[in-house]
Amino acid sequence: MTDAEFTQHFYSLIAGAVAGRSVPVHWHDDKNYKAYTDNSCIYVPAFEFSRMHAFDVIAQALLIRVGALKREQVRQLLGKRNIHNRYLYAEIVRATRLHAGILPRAFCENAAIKHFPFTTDSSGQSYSLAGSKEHFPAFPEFLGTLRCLLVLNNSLPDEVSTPELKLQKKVTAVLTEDEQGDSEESIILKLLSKKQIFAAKGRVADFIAKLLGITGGGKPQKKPGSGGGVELPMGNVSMGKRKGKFVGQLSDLSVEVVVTKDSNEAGSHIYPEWDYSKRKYRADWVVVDEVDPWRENAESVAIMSEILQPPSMTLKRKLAGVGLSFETHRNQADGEDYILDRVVNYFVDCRSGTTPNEGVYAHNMKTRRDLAVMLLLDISGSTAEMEESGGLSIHHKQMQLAYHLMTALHGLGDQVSLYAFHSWGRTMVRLVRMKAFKERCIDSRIRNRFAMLEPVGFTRTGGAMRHAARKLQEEETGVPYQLLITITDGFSYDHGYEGEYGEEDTKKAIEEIRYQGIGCLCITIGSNQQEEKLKNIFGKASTLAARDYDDFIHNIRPALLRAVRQTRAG
Amino acid sequence: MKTDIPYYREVRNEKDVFRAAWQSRRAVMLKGPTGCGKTRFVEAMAAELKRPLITVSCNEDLTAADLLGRYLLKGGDTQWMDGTLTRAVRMGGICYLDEIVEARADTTVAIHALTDHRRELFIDRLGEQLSAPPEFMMVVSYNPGYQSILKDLKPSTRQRMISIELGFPPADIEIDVVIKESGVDEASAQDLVRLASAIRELDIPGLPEVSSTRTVIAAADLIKAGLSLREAVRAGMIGPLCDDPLIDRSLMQLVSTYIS
Repeated sequence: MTDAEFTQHFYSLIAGAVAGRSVPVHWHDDKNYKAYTDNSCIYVPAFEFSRMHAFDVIAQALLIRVGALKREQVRQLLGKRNIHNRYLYAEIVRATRLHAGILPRAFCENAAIKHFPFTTDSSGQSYSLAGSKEHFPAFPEFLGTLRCLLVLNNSLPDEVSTPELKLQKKVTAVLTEDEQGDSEESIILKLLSKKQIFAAKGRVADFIAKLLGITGGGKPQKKPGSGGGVELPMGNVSMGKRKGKFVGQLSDLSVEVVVTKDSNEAGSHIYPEWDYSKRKYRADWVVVDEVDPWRENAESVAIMSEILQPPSMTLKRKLAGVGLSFETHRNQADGEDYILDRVVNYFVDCRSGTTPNEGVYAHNMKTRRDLAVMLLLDISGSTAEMEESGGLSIHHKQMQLAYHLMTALHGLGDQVSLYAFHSWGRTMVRLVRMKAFKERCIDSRIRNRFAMLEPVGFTRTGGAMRHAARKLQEEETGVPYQLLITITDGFSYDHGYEGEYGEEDTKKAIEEIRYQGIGCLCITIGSNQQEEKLKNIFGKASTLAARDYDDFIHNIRPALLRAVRQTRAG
Repeated sequence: MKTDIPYYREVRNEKDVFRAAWQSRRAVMLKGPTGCGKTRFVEAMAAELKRPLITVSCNEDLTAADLLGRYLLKGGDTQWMDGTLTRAVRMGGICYLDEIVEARADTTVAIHALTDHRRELFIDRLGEQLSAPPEFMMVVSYNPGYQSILKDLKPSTRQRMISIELGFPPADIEIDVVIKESGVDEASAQDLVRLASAIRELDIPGLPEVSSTRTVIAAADLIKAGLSLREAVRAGMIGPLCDDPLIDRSLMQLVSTYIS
């Protein structure tokens, strides 16, 4: 491992310690920015590698810890470059004073932090202070840069819309350049923040309105969770012509992450991607990060109560006979072997005149649970689509399915892990930890994570599955039956991952996973995707396209058994 | 029996709860992570109440006979030997079962009659029924982080006890404890506790446990004995945590950041 990779791993460690949740750290090479965060990851400048960035990482992690970059707050800061640094300064000092007990003494006693003359108690107060005429001390470099558009981009609310790529290209490119400009304010963003701009209806107006968090075109806000997915590209877009149609080729807004062949050991997970048109892999193409679930406002208690009901006995019975192996039961009245200690005690009891215990045998019975299951839950924006008749969205139904499977298998004694996934381009595939293998209880801490899941982003299924399978293998569960169960709506879509390309890569990933001796099962529930198409996409994997929950219960056992037969032990 | 009361710094009201449980003849279940002071707490309370303390480290091979007693062969005769629990009952002491979830369920049920309204111990091999004196107390401990579906206290066992939850103390109390236990200077104690607090925020694969108060005190002891801060932290706090070389190296880098 190179020094850069080790340093990256160490920065991720310190970021997690300060932020209070898993926060991957990456190198970036954009000279316009110092260290920054998008609320899920932290990015430090690779071109300044010779300098230690521990303080930079701590500063960004503190912003995450105190919730300084909530959408509402960041929208207020959009376009106001003159107060970005002041806001960062005030918030990082506030966070330092609040959490001094977990910070290095050197950071707390840094002169810039220690002698900051103002005190704020909330992000709102920090914003007010930043916008005031108070004189601030010189801004220390290690406090980083604020990237409003990046934070907002990764937390766009969900609505299906057919993109008008040409116009969006111009809008987002202009917004990005404008934000990087030298003047104190972004004139364009200031103009766009005026509601009168959106008097006319239009998809681009809606898009910008969503970004800025205001109603567009006088239309009422849709209720959260309504509409379909965030299949809205943004960032710089160049137009190309393919198969007679204009297709947007998107570069995502966020960042080109610096990766190397050994980045896997440093904490970033790099995977190839199958390019079916060239019939070869694109090496080191996809970057996968593991993060903890987070959203600004947790899902409503009413919805979570409906989703997180215990699984039925019917489901448990269906799963009970899957993946069993022999185990030795001691102290039995009958069996294949003697237990020497018990035999000696038997004769001692006889000689002492008391009734001996006849359980002196060891007996092998097929009762051991030998199944390790990795559950992978698609939480892209397309799953937020509601049924026409109302009720739960696909996302909620999938969450309920995942929770029931996880709880039922765990209750039967199987080793279970659950991760959610979504992506924003090939360098930002996120696996969200819901329950790791080593977490042995399904308690309120794990249930609360479900309330923190937000269906946003896109679906780069291949990268997510490759990483999930790797985790399953590296976990050393010590069991012969290993399954990867993917719960998805069946639509693989991301920047550079459309149509047949995405489908073929997903198929290839499943092939690789089965080759490793891991069984695959793909489950959809209430999805509009056709079953034949699913079988074509997921190839040889066991597929279960359930119409509803009852259909799922009816068909889960044969589907699971097909998947178990694919395993090395099966 | 020791007459000195071992040092224990109360965090909330755990001493009051323990005393109330003893006076009302209830069993106590101590819950908390490893190295947070459960055993020290029981030792302190036993000394304060002037009762002998008998400790049993539970494991999977612990049988009911180990607790109640058994006949041993001596020469050509058999002789009865009281188990640890029987001895504790006879002398009216405090019996402390450490890590009770490690014991098998058929062993654990041996304590049921002692921990409910009956407060009796039936030794079937002697045909003897022992009534526990008022001063007798049963205390069990376990680490909830080690629970699994296979190793868990049955509800019938749990509900026979009063629960006291212990955790790592707040930073200011932990600093005092480290100084008192090791004699190290305040600045070093503060740095050690900051580092431990940061490590406790971590939740990563390859790090099954976090720095306990016990390891912080161990590092402080080593500093007092003349080791450098960095060497003491490596040997006392980081080394015992995990065996993964990458995490070990990263944690040592964390030490460099936290400890000047």
